[in-house]
Amino acid sequence: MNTAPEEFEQLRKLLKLKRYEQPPPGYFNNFSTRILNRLEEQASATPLERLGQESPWLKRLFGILDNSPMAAGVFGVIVSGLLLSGIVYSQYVDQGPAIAMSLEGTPDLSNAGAMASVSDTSAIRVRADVSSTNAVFSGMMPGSSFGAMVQPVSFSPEGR
Amino acid sequence: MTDPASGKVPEGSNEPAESSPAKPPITEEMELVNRAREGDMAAYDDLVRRYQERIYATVYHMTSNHEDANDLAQESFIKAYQALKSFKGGSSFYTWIYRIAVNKTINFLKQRKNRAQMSLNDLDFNAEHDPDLVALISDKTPRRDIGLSELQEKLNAALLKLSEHHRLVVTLHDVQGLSHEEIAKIMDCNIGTVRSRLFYARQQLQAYLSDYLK
Repeated sequence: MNTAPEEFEQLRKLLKLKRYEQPPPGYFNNFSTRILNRLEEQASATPLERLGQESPWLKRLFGILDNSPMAAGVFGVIVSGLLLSGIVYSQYVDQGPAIAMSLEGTPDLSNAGAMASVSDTSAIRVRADVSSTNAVFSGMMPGSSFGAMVQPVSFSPEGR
Repeated sequence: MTDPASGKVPEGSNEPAESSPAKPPITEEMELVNRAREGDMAAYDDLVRRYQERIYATVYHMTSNHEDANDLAQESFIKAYQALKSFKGGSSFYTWIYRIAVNKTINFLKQRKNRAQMSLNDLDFNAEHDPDLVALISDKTPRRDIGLSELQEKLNAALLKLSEHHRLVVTLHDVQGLSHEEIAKIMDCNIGTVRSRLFYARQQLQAYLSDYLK
Protein backbone atom coordinates (compact mmCIF):
# COMPACT_ATOMS: atom_id res chain seq x y z
CA MET A 1 0.00 0.00 0.00
CA ASN A 2 1.38 3.35 -0.97
CA THR A 3 1.16 5.75 1.94
CA ALA A 4 3.26 8.57 0.56
CA PRO A 5 2.07 12.04 1.60
CA GLU A 6 1.06 12.92 -1.97
CA GLU A 7 -1.21 9.91 -1.99
CA PHE A 8 -2.92 11.16 1.14
CA GLU A 9 -3.15 14.49 -0.61
CA GLN A 10 -5.31 12.89 -3.27
CA LEU A 11 -7.39 11.27 -0.60
CA ARG A 12 -7.86 14.57 1.18
CA LYS A 13 -8.99 16.14 -2.06
CA LEU A 14 -11.49 13.36 -2.48
CA LEU A 15 -12.68 13.83 1.08
CA LYS A 16 -13.50 17.43 0.20
CA LEU A 17 -16.45 15.96 -1.61
CA LYS A 18 -18.02 15.33 1.78
CA ARG A 19 -18.19 19.04 2.42
CA TYR A 20 -20.67 19.40 -0.41
CA GLU A 21 -23.17 16.95 0.97
CA GLN A 22 -26.09 19.04 1.98
CA PRO A 23 -29.17 18.40 4.08
CA PRO A 24 -32.53 19.20 2.45
CA PRO A 25 -32.90 22.88 1.53
CA GLY A 26 -34.06 25.02 4.42
CA TYR A 27 -33.26 22.30 6.90
CA PHE A 28 -31.45 24.60 9.31
CA ASN A 29 -34.09 27.35 9.16
CA ASN A 30 -36.18 25.70 11.84
CA PHE A 31 -33.62 23.47 13.46
CA SER A 32 -33.25 25.43 16.69
CA THR A 33 -37.00 26.05 16.83
CA ARG A 34 -37.61 22.31 16.73
CA ILE A 35 -35.18 21.81 19.59
CA LEU A 36 -36.72 24.55 21.71
CA ASN A 37 -40.19 23.13 21.04
CA ARG A 38 -39.06 19.72 22.20
CA LEU A 39 -37.54 21.23 25.33
CA GLU A 40 -40.77 23.05 26.08
CA GLU A 41 -42.77 19.87 25.51
CA GLN A 42 -40.52 18.06 27.94
CA ALA A 43 -40.84 20.81 30.50
CA SER A 44 -44.64 20.71 30.37
CA ALA A 45 -44.89 16.92 30.25
CA THR A 46 -46.56 14.97 33.04
CA PRO A 47 -44.29 12.73 35.13
CA LEU A 48 -45.56 9.68 33.21
CA GLU A 49 -44.88 11.33 29.87
CA ARG A 50 -41.45 12.40 31.08
CA LEU A 51 -40.71 8.82 32.09
CA GLY A 52 -41.72 7.73 28.61
CA GLN A 53 -39.46 10.33 27.02
CA GLU A 54 -36.50 9.32 29.14
CA SER A 55 -37.11 5.61 28.62
CA PRO A 56 -38.33 5.05 25.07
CA TRP A 57 -38.74 1.32 25.68
CA LEU A 58 -41.23 2.10 28.44
CA LYS A 59 -43.14 4.32 26.07
CA ARG A 60 -43.25 1.51 23.50
CA LEU A 61 -44.43 -0.91 26.18
CA PHE A 62 -47.26 1.43 27.22
CA GLY A 63 -48.17 1.85 23.56
CA ILE A 64 -48.45 -1.91 23.08
CA LEU A 65 -50.52 -2.31 26.25
CA ASP A 66 -52.81 0.49 25.13
CA ASN A 67 -53.46 -1.03 21.74
CA SER A 68 -53.78 -4.67 22.66
CA PRO A 69 -56.07 -5.82 25.51
CA MET A 70 -54.66 -9.33 25.11
CA ALA A 71 -51.12 -8.09 25.68
CA ALA A 72 -52.34 -6.04 28.64
CA GLY A 73 -53.96 -9.17 30.14
CA VAL A 74 -50.83 -11.26 29.67
CA PHE A 75 -48.73 -8.49 31.12
CA GLY A 76 -51.06 -8.26 34.14
CA VAL A 77 -50.86 -12.01 34.75
CA ILE A 78 -47.07 -11.92 34.52
CA VAL A 79 -46.80 -9.00 36.92
CA SER A 80 -49.23 -10.62 39.37
CA GLY A 81 -47.33 -13.90 39.15
CA LEU A 82 -44.05 -12.14 39.85
CA LEU A 83 -45.62 -10.34 42.79
CA LEU A 84 -47.02 -13.55 44.30
CA SER A 85 -43.71 -15.33 43.73
CA GLY A 86 -41.96 -12.51 45.49
CA ILE A 87 -44.28 -12.72 48.48
CA VAL A 88 -43.95 -16.50 48.74
CA TYR A 89 -40.20 -16.31 48.35
CA SER A 90 -39.85 -13.62 50.97
CA GLN A 91 -41.83 -15.76 53.45
CA TYR A 92 -39.62 -18.72 52.66
CA VAL A 93 -36.50 -16.66 53.20
CA ASP A 94 -37.83 -15.37 56.52
CA GLN A 95 -38.31 -18.92 57.75
CA GLY A 96 -35.02 -20.16 56.35
CA PRO A 97 -32.75 -19.27 59.29
CA ALA A 98 -35.20 -20.73 61.75
CA ILE A 99 -35.22 -24.03 59.91
CA ALA A 100 -31.46 -23.97 59.81
CA MET A 101 -31.34 -24.08 63.56
CA SER A 102 -31.25 -27.57 64.85
CA LEU A 103 -31.65 -29.20 68.12
CA GLU A 104 -28.54 -30.98 69.22
CA GLY A 105 -28.93 -34.24 71.13
CA THR A 106 -32.69 -34.17 71.04
CA PRO A 107 -33.69 -35.68 67.72
CA ASP A 108 -37.30 -36.03 68.75
CA LEU A 109 -37.57 -32.32 69.29
CA SER A 110 -35.83 -31.69 65.99
CA ASN A 111 -38.36 -33.82 64.20
CA ALA A 112 -41.10 -31.88 65.84
CA GLY A 113 -39.80 -28.77 64.22
CA ALA A 114 -38.37 -27.26 67.31
CA MET A 115 -36.28 -24.26 66.66
CA ALA A 116 -34.07 -24.22 69.67
CA SER A 117 -31.60 -26.78 70.83
CA VAL A 118 -31.82 -27.97 74.35
CA SER A 119 -28.74 -29.62 75.64
CA ASP A 120 -28.50 -32.02 78.52
CA THR A 121 -27.89 -29.11 80.77
CA SER A 122 -30.90 -27.30 79.41
CA ALA A 123 -28.73 -24.54 78.13
CA ILE A 124 -29.62 -23.09 74.82
CA ARG A 125 -26.93 -23.42 72.22
CA VAL A 126 -27.14 -21.67 68.97
CA ARG A 127 -25.10 -22.67 65.95
CA ALA A 128 -22.45 -20.19 65.05
CA ASP A 129 -23.61 -19.93 61.46
CA VAL A 130 -27.02 -18.70 62.44
CA SER A 131 -27.15 -15.00 62.46
CA SER A 132 -30.85 -14.37 62.49
CA THR A 133 -32.21 -12.45 65.42
CA ASN A 134 -35.78 -13.57 64.80
CA ALA A 135 -37.77 -14.32 67.88
CA VAL A 136 -37.56 -18.04 67.29
CA PHE A 137 -38.27 -18.86 70.91
CA SER A 138 -41.54 -17.08 71.03
CA GLY A 139 -43.54 -20.30 71.09
CA MET A 140 -41.25 -22.08 73.52
CA MET A 141 -41.98 -20.61 76.84
CA PRO A 142 -41.16 -22.60 79.97
CA GLY A 143 -43.65 -25.34 80.37
CA SER A 144 -44.48 -25.46 76.71
CA SER A 145 -45.61 -28.60 74.95
CA PHE A 146 -42.01 -29.70 74.49
CA GLY A 147 -41.56 -29.95 78.20
CA ALA A 148 -38.17 -28.33 77.95
CA MET A 149 -37.12 -25.87 80.51
CA VAL A 150 -36.01 -22.85 78.61
CA GLN A 151 -34.63 -19.92 80.37
CA PRO A 152 -33.35 -16.72 78.87
CA VAL A 153 -29.61 -16.62 78.92
CA SER A 154 -27.04 -14.46 77.34
CA PHE A 155 -24.97 -16.42 74.92
CA SER A 156 -22.39 -16.05 72.26
CA PRO A 157 -21.54 -18.20 69.27
CA GLU A 158 -19.37 -21.20 69.95
CA GLY A 159 -15.73 -20.64 70.23
CA ARG A 160 -15.98 -16.94 70.92
CA MET B 1 -23.67 27.82 -0.76
CA THR B 2 -22.23 27.13 2.61
CA ASP B 3 -20.07 24.27 3.64
CA PRO B 4 -22.13 22.07 5.95
CA ALA B 5 -19.03 21.16 7.87
CA SER B 6 -18.06 24.61 8.88
CA GLY B 7 -20.91 26.81 7.90
CA LYS B 8 -18.49 28.64 5.62
CA VAL B 9 -18.08 28.72 1.89
CA PRO B 10 -15.24 26.40 0.91
CA GLU B 11 -12.35 28.47 -0.33
CA GLY B 12 -10.89 25.83 -2.58
CA SER B 13 -7.95 25.22 -0.31
CA ASN B 14 -6.30 21.86 -0.60
CA GLU B 15 -5.29 21.82 3.04
CA PRO B 16 -7.79 21.42 5.79
CA ALA B 17 -7.53 24.26 8.22
CA GLU B 18 -5.35 23.37 11.17
CA SER B 19 -7.44 25.57 13.36
CA SER B 20 -11.14 25.18 13.90
CA PRO B 21 -13.72 27.20 12.02
CA ALA B 22 -14.24 30.67 13.42
CA LYS B 23 -15.55 30.46 16.94
CA PRO B 24 -17.19 33.22 18.94
CA PRO B 25 -15.25 34.68 21.87
CA ILE B 26 -15.32 32.42 24.91
CA THR B 27 -16.57 35.12 27.26
CA GLU B 28 -19.55 35.91 25.07
CA GLU B 29 -20.27 32.23 24.77
CA MET B 30 -20.04 31.72 28.52
CA GLU B 31 -22.46 34.54 29.04
CA LEU B 32 -24.92 32.80 26.74
CA VAL B 33 -24.34 29.56 28.61
CA ASN B 34 -24.99 31.24 31.94
CA ARG B 35 -28.17 32.83 30.65
CA ALA B 36 -29.34 29.52 29.19
CA ARG B 37 -28.64 27.86 32.54
CA GLU B 38 -31.03 30.30 34.15
CA GLY B 39 -33.72 29.32 31.68
CA ASP B 40 -33.23 31.96 29.01
CA MET B 41 -34.34 30.03 25.93
CA ALA B 42 -33.33 32.83 23.58
CA ALA B 43 -29.75 32.43 24.77
CA TYR B 44 -29.86 28.72 24.15
CA ASP B 45 -31.41 29.34 20.75
CA ASP B 46 -28.37 31.48 19.97
CA LEU B 47 -26.00 28.71 21.07
CA VAL B 48 -27.84 26.14 18.96
CA ARG B 49 -27.70 28.36 15.90
CA ARG B 50 -23.96 28.80 16.31
CA TYR B 51 -23.18 25.11 16.26
CA GLN B 52 -26.12 23.40 14.56
CA GLU B 53 -24.44 23.05 11.17
CA ARG B 54 -21.18 21.71 12.52
CA ILE B 55 -22.86 19.27 14.87
CA TYR B 56 -25.22 18.08 12.18
CA ALA B 57 -22.36 17.69 9.72
CA THR B 58 -20.27 15.67 12.15
CA VAL B 59 -23.13 13.33 12.94
CA TYR B 60 -24.12 13.10 9.30
CA HIS B 61 -20.63 12.20 8.13
CA MET B 62 -20.49 9.53 10.81
CA THR B 63 -23.86 7.98 9.95
CA SER B 64 -24.28 8.83 6.25
CA ASN B 65 -27.95 9.08 6.97
CA HIS B 66 -29.93 12.29 7.13
CA GLU B 67 -32.71 11.00 9.36
CA ASP B 68 -30.28 9.58 11.89
CA ALA B 69 -28.19 12.74 11.78
CA ASN B 70 -31.30 14.83 12.33
CA ASP B 71 -32.38 12.81 15.37
CA LEU B 72 -28.93 12.60 16.89
CA ALA B 73 -28.13 16.27 16.38
CA GLN B 74 -31.40 17.31 18.00
CA GLU B 75 -30.97 14.89 20.87
CA SER B 76 -27.44 16.14 21.43
CA PHE B 77 -28.64 19.71 21.86
CA ILE B 78 -31.48 18.60 24.10
CA LYS B 79 -29.14 16.55 26.26
CA ALA B 80 -26.72 19.47 26.40
CA TYR B 81 -29.47 21.76 27.64
CA GLN B 82 -30.51 19.28 30.30
CA ALA B 83 -26.90 18.87 31.42
CA LEU B 84 -26.06 22.55 31.23
CA LYS B 85 -25.95 22.82 35.01
CA SER B 86 -23.12 20.30 35.08
CA PHE B 87 -21.09 22.26 32.54
CA LYS B 88 -18.27 23.74 34.59
CA GLY B 89 -16.63 25.71 31.82
CA GLY B 90 -13.42 23.66 32.01
CA SER B 91 -13.56 23.41 28.23
CA SER B 92 -15.37 25.58 25.74
CA PHE B 93 -19.05 24.98 25.13
CA TYR B 94 -18.03 24.19 21.57
CA THR B 95 -15.84 21.27 22.69
CA TRP B 96 -18.42 20.15 25.22
CA ILE B 97 -21.34 20.00 22.78
CA TYR B 98 -19.13 18.25 20.26
CA ARG B 99 -18.26 15.64 22.86
CA ILE B 100 -21.90 15.03 23.65
CA ALA B 101 -22.77 14.64 19.98
CA VAL B 102 -19.81 12.38 19.30
CA ASN B 103 -20.53 10.08 22.26
CA LYS B 104 -24.18 9.89 21.33
CA THR B 105 -23.32 9.06 17.74
CA ILE B 106 -20.77 6.40 18.65
CA ASN B 107 -23.25 4.75 21.02
CA PHE B 108 -25.88 4.86 18.30
CA LEU B 109 -23.53 3.34 15.74
CA LYS B 110 -22.57 0.53 18.11
CA GLN B 111 -26.23 -0.34 18.53
CA ARG B 112 -26.83 -0.08 14.81
CA LYS B 113 -23.75 -2.17 14.07
CA ASN B 114 -25.09 -4.53 11.44
CA ARG B 115 -27.65 -2.19 10.03
CA ALA B 116 -25.50 0.09 7.96
CA GLN B 117 -27.67 2.13 5.65
CA MET B 118 -26.87 5.08 3.52
CA SER B 119 -29.28 7.73 2.42
CA LEU B 120 -26.84 10.23 1.12
CA ASN B 121 -27.65 13.87 1.04
CA ASP B 122 -27.60 15.54 -2.34
CA LEU B 123 -24.36 17.05 -3.41
CA ASP B 124 -24.22 20.80 -3.50
CA PHE B 125 -24.21 22.04 -7.09
CA ASN B 126 -20.94 23.86 -6.36
CA ALA B 127 -19.16 20.53 -6.00
CA GLU B 128 -18.98 20.32 -9.77
CA HIS B 129 -16.93 23.51 -9.82
CA ASP B 130 -14.48 22.57 -7.11
CA PRO B 131 -11.09 22.50 -8.86
CA ASP B 132 -9.83 19.57 -6.81
CA LEU B 133 -12.88 17.49 -7.55
CA VAL B 134 -12.91 18.49 -11.18
CA ALA B 135 -9.29 17.34 -11.38
CA LEU B 136 -10.15 14.09 -9.69
CA ILE B 137 -12.85 13.12 -12.15
CA SER B 138 -11.26 14.48 -15.28
CA ASP B 139 -7.83 12.89 -15.04
CA LYS B 140 -7.01 10.14 -17.48
CA THR B 141 -7.26 7.42 -14.91
CA PRO B 142 -9.70 4.59 -14.38
CA ARG B 143 -11.95 6.98 -12.51
CA ARG B 144 -12.52 9.23 -15.54
CA ASP B 145 -15.86 7.61 -16.29
CA ILE B 146 -17.16 8.05 -12.84
CA GLY B 147 -19.46 10.88 -11.89
CA LEU B 148 -19.42 12.82 -8.66
CA SER B 149 -22.43 10.99 -7.29
CA GLU B 150 -20.84 7.63 -7.80
CA LEU B 151 -17.62 8.88 -6.31
CA GLN B 152 -19.60 10.12 -3.33
CA GLU B 153 -21.18 6.72 -2.93
CA LYS B 154 -17.83 4.93 -3.07
CA LEU B 155 -16.30 7.36 -0.62
CA ASN B 156 -19.10 6.93 1.88
CA ALA B 157 -19.06 3.17 1.53
CA ALA B 158 -15.34 3.26 2.27
CA LEU B 159 -15.86 5.52 5.27
CA LEU B 160 -18.48 3.18 6.66
CA LYS B 161 -15.92 0.38 6.61
CA LEU B 162 -13.78 2.25 9.12
CA SER B 163 -14.29 1.81 12.83
CA GLU B 164 -16.28 4.58 14.53
CA HIS B 165 -13.21 6.15 16.09
CA HIS B 166 -11.21 6.15 12.86
CA ARG B 167 -14.13 7.55 10.90
CA LEU B 168 -14.57 10.24 13.50
CA VAL B 169 -10.96 11.36 13.28
CA VAL B 170 -11.10 11.56 9.49
CA THR B 171 -14.40 13.42 9.64
CA LEU B 172 -13.24 15.94 12.19
CA HIS B 173 -9.84 16.54 10.62
CA ASP B 174 -10.08 16.01 6.88
CA VAL B 175 -13.70 16.98 6.37
CA GLN B 176 -14.37 19.54 9.08
CA GLY B 177 -10.89 20.92 9.42
CA LEU B 178 -10.46 20.65 13.18
CA SER B 179 -6.96 20.59 14.59
CA HIS B 180 -5.42 17.56 16.26
CA GLU B 181 -5.59 19.36 19.61
CA GLU B 182 -9.29 20.03 19.30
CA ILE B 183 -9.99 16.48 18.22
CA ALA B 184 -8.00 15.19 21.20
CA LYS B 185 -10.13 17.29 23.53
CA ILE B 186 -13.35 16.14 21.92
CA MET B 187 -12.35 12.49 21.93
CA ASP B 188 -10.76 12.75 25.36
CA CYS B 189 -7.48 11.20 24.27
CA ASN B 190 -3.97 12.45 23.61
CA ILE B 191 -2.75 14.03 20.40
CA GLY B 192 -0.54 11.06 19.58
CA THR B 193 -3.59 8.82 19.54
CA VAL B 194 -5.36 11.23 17.21
CA ARG B 195 -2.39 11.29 14.84
CA SER B 196 -2.01 7.53 14.77
CA ARG B 197 -5.73 6.99 14.25
CA LEU B 198 -5.73 9.52 11.45
CA PHE B 199 -2.79 7.83 9.76
CA TYR B 200 -4.33 4.40 10.05
CA ALA B 201 -7.72 5.63 8.84
CA ARG B 202 -6.17 7.28 5.81
CA GLN B 203 -4.25 4.13 5.01
CA GLN B 204 -7.46 2.14 5.14
CA LEU B 205 -9.34 4.61 2.97
CA GLN B 206 -6.43 4.71 0.58
CA ALA B 207 -6.70 0.97 0.13
CA TYR B 208 -10.49 0.95 -0.24
CA LEU B 209 -10.41 3.77 -2.80
CA SER B 210 -7.26 2.83 -4.68
CA ASP B 211 -9.18 2.59 -7.96
CA TYR B 212 -10.25 6.19 -7.69
CA LEU B 213 -6.97 7.72 -6.64
CA LYS B 214 -3.83 8.16 -8.69
